[in-house]
Amino acid sequence: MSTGVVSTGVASRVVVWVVFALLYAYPLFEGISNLIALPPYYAANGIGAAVPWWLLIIGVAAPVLLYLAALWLGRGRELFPRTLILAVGLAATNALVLSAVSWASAVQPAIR
Amino acid sequence: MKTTGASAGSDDDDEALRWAGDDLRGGVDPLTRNRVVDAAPASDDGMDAAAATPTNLARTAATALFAVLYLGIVVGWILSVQITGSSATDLFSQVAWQFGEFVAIISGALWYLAVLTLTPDSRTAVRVGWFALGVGLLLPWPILLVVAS
Repeated sequence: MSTGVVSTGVASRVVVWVVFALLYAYPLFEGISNLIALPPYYAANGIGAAVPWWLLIIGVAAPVLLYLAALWLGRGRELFPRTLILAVGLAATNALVLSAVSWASAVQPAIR
Repeated sequence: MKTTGASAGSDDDDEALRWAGDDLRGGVDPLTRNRVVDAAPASDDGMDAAAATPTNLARTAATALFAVLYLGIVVGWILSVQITGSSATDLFSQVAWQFGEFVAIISGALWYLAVLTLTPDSRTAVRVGWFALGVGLLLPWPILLVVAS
């Protein structure tokens, strides 16, 4: 009886982890693709020295760090707080990514 | 005077475990419930509430101040998504981008509600710290950069 309850709890937790892992994966994928594609694009346009590395690093690190932080903050809590914390982290990740993109546009030198 | 006289620090702890509005809502915090039962006469309650008022007032004021700030963040993101756009043409990327914009809009509200609901027992400084961290992370830079330029 009690093991059934426990395993249900574990199962729903794992489902939440996996679903949010997928939702965090998209911004991570975008970040990695920017990190790979932007430096060559800048170099090809003669502004290779102006690659905003710190913004590219934020784009890759934010999804990973916020996902791990959300898991860590949710440990030992009920399912709802865990899910809420993961949702907050996901929203913050997307806000940070949009901010990084807008900063990258703002600091990009004019391409001749 | 004190509901618990265990140590010098217990007064601080008791205040940290109370939250303005608990009495109004008729709620009793699970962590303090037992101590209240153990505590001395009911007449002490009034004195306790009076002693806790400054902290609760500061906490309420900080919570209200951050409510205004976070409302500003949500408005800022609503304005921000009007000026950001994706060059993606395939459906999946467009849907993902729209979803990202949507969660960015609600990020301020989610963060605020999460801090509000998950720190009822925390010290005021802890709650304010989480509120401040959220403001720092969630600044709506797209619109701020446009306004600044």
